[in-house]
Amino acid sequence: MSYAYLFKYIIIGDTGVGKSCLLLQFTDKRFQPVHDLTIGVEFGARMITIAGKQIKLQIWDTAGQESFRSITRSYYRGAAGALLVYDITRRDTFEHLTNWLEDARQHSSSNMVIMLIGNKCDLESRREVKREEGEAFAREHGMIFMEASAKTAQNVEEAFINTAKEIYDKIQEGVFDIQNEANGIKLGPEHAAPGVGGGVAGARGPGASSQAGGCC
Amino acid sequence: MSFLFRAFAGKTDGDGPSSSGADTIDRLLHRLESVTLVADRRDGLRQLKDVAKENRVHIAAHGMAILLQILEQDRSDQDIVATILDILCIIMSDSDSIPGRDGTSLPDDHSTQKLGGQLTEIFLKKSEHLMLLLDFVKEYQFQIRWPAVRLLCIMANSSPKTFQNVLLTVGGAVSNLMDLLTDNREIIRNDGVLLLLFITKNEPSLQKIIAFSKAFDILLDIVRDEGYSEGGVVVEDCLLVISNLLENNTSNIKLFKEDGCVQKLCDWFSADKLGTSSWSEQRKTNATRMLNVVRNLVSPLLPSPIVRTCQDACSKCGLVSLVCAILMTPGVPLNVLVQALNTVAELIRGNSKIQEDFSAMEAPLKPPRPALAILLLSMLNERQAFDLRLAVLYVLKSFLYKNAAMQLTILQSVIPDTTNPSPHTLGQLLGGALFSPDNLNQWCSEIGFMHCVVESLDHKKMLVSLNVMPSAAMPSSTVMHQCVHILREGSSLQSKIAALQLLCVWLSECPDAVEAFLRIESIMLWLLTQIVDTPLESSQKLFQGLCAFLLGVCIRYDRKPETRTEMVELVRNRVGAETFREKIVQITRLENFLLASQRPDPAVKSFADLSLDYDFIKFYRAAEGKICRAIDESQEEHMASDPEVFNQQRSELLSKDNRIAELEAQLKQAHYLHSQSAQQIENLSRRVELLTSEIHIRDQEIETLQREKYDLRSNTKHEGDARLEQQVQHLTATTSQMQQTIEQYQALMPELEHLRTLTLQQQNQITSYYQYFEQQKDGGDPSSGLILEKTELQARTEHLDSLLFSWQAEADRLKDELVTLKDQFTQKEVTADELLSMTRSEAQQKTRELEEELEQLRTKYSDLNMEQADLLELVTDSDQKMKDYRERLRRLGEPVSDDEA
Repeated sequence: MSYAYLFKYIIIGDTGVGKSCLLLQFTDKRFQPVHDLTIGVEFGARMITIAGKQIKLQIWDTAGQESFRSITRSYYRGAAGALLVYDITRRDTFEHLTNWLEDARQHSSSNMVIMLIGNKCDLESRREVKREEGEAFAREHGMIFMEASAKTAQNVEEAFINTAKEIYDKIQEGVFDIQNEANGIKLGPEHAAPGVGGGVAGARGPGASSQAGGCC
Repeated sequence: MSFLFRAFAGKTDGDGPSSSGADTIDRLLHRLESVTLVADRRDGLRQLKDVAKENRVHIAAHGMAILLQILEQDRSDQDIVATILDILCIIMSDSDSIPGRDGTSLPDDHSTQKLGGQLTEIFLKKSEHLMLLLDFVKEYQFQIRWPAVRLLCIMANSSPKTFQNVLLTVGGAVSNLMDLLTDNREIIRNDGVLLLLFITKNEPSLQKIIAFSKAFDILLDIVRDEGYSEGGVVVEDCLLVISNLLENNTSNIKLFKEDGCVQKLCDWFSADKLGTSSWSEQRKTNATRMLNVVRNLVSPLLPSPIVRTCQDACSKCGLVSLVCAILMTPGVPLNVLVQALNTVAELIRGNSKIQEDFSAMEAPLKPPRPALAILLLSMLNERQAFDLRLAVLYVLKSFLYKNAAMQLTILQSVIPDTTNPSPHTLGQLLGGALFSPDNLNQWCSEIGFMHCVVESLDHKKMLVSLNVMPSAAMPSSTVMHQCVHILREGSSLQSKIAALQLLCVWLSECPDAVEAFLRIESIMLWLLTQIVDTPLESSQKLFQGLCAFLLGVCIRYDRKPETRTEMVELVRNRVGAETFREKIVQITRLENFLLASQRPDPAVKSFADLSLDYDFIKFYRAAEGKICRAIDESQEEHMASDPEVFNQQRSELLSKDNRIAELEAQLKQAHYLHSQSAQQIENLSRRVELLTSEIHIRDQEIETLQREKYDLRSNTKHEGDARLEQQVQHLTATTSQMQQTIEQYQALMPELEHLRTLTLQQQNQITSYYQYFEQQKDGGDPSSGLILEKTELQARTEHLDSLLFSWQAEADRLKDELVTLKDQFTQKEVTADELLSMTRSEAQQKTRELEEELEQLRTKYSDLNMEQADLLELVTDSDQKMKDYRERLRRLGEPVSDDEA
């Protein structure tokens, strides 16, 4: 299947907040109430459409446990987007966000788009973190924010797609150097194909169109 | 650190180099430690390097710390760094050259081989050491980067597990190593590939990180740039790394597929690259490794959904046809061909679409013939290599796996079609092979037939009546007769074992086949004789176990109660029920059984090693329990064959149908109950979890409260103390003030007294004057002066009196004040005490309450635990019930698979 861009994501956050379930809901559209503990890292992929362009998402779902932290750090570099997940029914997972964010900022490229997700929003009765708190935290740290539920699938699509939109916009603005794959972005074969002869020309395509868009 | 290396010092004395060598080293090391000029150090290191090879142990024991220290301190000096890295390479390496790819570094004696590993282990005890080396890997300078990579290779090879673990703890290490692959100096790039090879073995976490770092793209590019299979050893290394990354790593396999790498594999096998150009050893190896990469993607040991998607991807991009084309390409060397056959087998296994495509494939002959038939001809050709023939059998098995239509086609074509005398249909080939004098042909035929019937009762029934006409010269015979013939008269144990496997699968659940089998003369007795003695050899044990199993199958599925009772009695009397079961069960403990159960592809070296088929083992495991119980069961199910009881049977069957329906309903109910209790358990466990966390929170709360209480207590005390202290201070201040006043007052007292006496004196004087005046009045005039004096004195007295009065008043006031202050003081003391005791009791009360609450939560939690245990019991009960129902259903002849639960 051809695609215009490939974005690499990672999913991070404390253990048990529902990272693997979010991925499973997004890639397979199903929910598994009892999920095995993720060991190291698991991989998933899906195709989405943004602005009429096919975009392939490759997602690395990391283990939340402390003992896997150094493994997780190996994945920040080379990811274009990160979903930082906490559990709205567990306050501690919200309080650890600062640590996660520090880790992410320290090891990733500065342009990485981070989406903050308050998962398990179907469990309203057990809520320990107010929606406003999540919003405030995201605003303060320059992240997009959403509450989602891997169980009911509420906002799951949106979370992944909005992150992709943000990355896509950044590409259009020329923030990302799409030639450098360390940013976690890869041009699809339909871009790359004419680029064999003149890679620069091929790469300039979307950039140039975006400038036109910007003028309007 | 140095003391660790010094552990080796002991060894130097015994088998080390000459003592003069050791002296030289010691002198050099001493010099390195003491000199201050960089040039001197450089010089010393160069000398050390020259003698390093003969004095590895000595330098490791005495010089490692110094070397590492210099490495750290002179890290900007290229010469020094390069020399030290060289020395470290020499010390750590157990062989003259860089370690071999297969991990077998050539050791001259065992102890020195282990030395490198031991030194590596010690070196890696500190991850800083590895980080230092990784820093040098980043250097672009050849004379630094290369030895740094080589050193890492040596260490990764001699102590892979430790190296991998340390590497995982060092952040960013992998991306550092990946950069080596794009170094334009080939020698560095190649060593980088080699390093990846060592660190990717059996370490899924590193495999994933490396794949994440775009290893697939980079490695595939190297393979392409080096000329695919015609490239050198670096191609082989790249292919091995790719295989390592994919092996049993579903996450990486998904990524490989998602990244469009399957498509790129097509380039490896495209026709122009398989042409007739010569096959060097390296090219053969490369081609085998390439096919191995394909096999990694579709290995039968992977979860079947992954295998399916990979098979589809390989089929879609044309890779399957390309690999199949290798089979038809002339001049392909044997080992490549065998590997290609195994690859084809795994590409088509269980995938009906690809199986269909494969059956339609034709060999480029005139006239074209089905490729599969040509392959079977090679399988049955005694002049072909053993490996090749087994690989074709693997293709055949994979082709038939879950392919009922093809199984049927083969069975149908066993009998030659008189209207269309096409030579050698698949069935005829397979049937004919059963009569071949060649043992491997018999084996292949038996296993082939087994795969035609293993999944279908209809096929089993069909095979019962199949007559084979092997050739015009030989009389026709049924497949079953021929099997029994091989069993009794066969010349090789292997083909007998294959015949037994076929018969066991065939007769199982098929009373028709059992009946036909038992009709063969004295077959029962023959089987019984086989299991009476106790052989020692394991292949004999296997043979005997299979005979016992076959007998068990006959008993279990015989529809005639008479013969069944007879057989059960025979077994009980001649062998004993317990021994009989033991003989069946012992098969699973044989090494053959374990080996064959590990993977479906043929992994045996010679005919003598052939024993059990992978799919037979699956069947055996499922049926074993039932067969073992067969001789215990009373004859509960049998079928009369008299036509007059047909109606009775029919009604019985109808009632059975009803019962089955009923049981099914019950089963459904049980299912429902099961799922409900599962749900309940889940809910409960969630609740337990919640409660546990709540308890935890409460615990924390209590802790904080206790801490607060403690704080409070100390605070109140503190506060009270401070207040008291203040008051006391105030009081002391007042007291001292008062003391002062009192002192003043007391100091005034004598004056006062004096004044009083003075006044008294004066009064006396005055009185005496009065008297005098009175006297004088009577007598004279001088009284005017005296009167004046008197008024004066009177005024003075008055003044002194008032003064005295005011002093007294002041003293009184002060006394009063002192008393009130004293009262105040005691009062305040009392209130402070009261306050203290009050807070104390309050805190105690609170603690008590919280403790009670905690106790309540604990009992609640244990209640829940009990409740959960009860539910678990319920679930096990219902599971058991379900199992019983299933068993009953099965006994009633309803096919129920175990995984229906």
